[in-house]
Amino acid sequence: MEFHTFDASYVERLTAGDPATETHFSVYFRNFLSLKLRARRLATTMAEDVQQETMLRVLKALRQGSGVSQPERFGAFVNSVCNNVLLEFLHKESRQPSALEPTADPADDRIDMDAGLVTQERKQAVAEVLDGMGSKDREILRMVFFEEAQRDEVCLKLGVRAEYLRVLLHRAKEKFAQAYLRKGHSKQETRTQFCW
Amino acid sequence: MMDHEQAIQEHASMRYALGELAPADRDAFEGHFADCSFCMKDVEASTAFAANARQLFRERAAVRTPAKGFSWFQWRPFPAFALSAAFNVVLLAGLGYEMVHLHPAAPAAVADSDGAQNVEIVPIHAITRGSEHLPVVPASRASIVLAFDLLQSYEHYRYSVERAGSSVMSGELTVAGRPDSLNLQIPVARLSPGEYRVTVTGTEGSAQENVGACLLQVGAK
Repeated sequence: MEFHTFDASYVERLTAGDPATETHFSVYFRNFLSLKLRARRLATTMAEDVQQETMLRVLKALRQGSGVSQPERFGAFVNSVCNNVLLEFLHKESRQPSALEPTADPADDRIDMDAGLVTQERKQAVAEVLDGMGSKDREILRMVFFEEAQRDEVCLKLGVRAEYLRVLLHRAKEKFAQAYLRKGHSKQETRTQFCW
Repeated sequence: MMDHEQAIQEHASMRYALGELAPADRDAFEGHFADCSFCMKDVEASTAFAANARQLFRERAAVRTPAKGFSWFQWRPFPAFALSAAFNVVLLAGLGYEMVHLHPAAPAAVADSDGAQNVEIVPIHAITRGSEHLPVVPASRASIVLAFDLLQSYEHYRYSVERAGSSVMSGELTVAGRPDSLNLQIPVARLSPGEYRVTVTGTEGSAQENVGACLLQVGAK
């Protein structure tokens, strides 16, 4: 079961500058790159620069360069371009530490990073999920998310198996997604709110 | 690159959102979900769930903290601080005995204010980078001792007690040696009801850092 979005036709349309395809490219990969760079706890300003540079280089490669050899893996191509850009930026940063010093601190600041993702409605959806759980399950999630405890530690402390924890997290996330979408939020809204 | 079945079986989306994947697995999963809209959506949901759950638990903990108060049974003080606290208790007991038994002419005054008191000692943990939520300390007695963790020593220490941005009291603190904690006694009885921000800063040369801070809630007398 694969859900590929890309094919030769998509890449051709993007290369030709089709507006609808360009919009899709922009929304989809801005979202992808946000998630990717967030996972690396990159400072917001640097993440924005990496995003823009990546998308610019991808379009340049399509329109002026050699193009993409496997259009059905266009996402992986964008990902590899981003990896190169990221390496370059990190290399540049390591050579000029003082220039980035003021913005380097927030990179590890999870509260700041979460700020763009936290909304009253989403919190309400999470609250509904948590309040519908037993106290032990809620305590498990509290340890995972609030204390950021390692899974082994959570399992040991609360006497549950790793598989139970995996399933609990999965179900909680599914219920959250259902509760949030049930309230009438479109996929598009969800995506755009992920941008930094 | 990770395939779709593997990503589902390993619950890669949630582990990715929680930063639990090893770098090689993280890179492999990114190579997959860049092309897989299903997994991309799953990563979005996991990331949003994690961020909002973290925030919700933070908020619930902040609400719960004042009611929870301080549990003596869970407290594990540093040895130096435990010794200091023990001496304080002995000192207060001696002072109380002296006031009650050696000055019998004024027993009423002793009972009112100056006698031995059960002083509440509340540990305040060091400020962590990015921490926005200050511990809330309810103060109902005449006096409270805030024990600030000292993760490192400084040349000079200052404290300030502010209410609504205005300084109510402040000054230098004398700290001998390199103790594990700094005990700041606040005369709660002198403060009018309300919320106060108590901050301790340390200075080393020209650098000044926050040692710790908390919100002191003084109730109606």
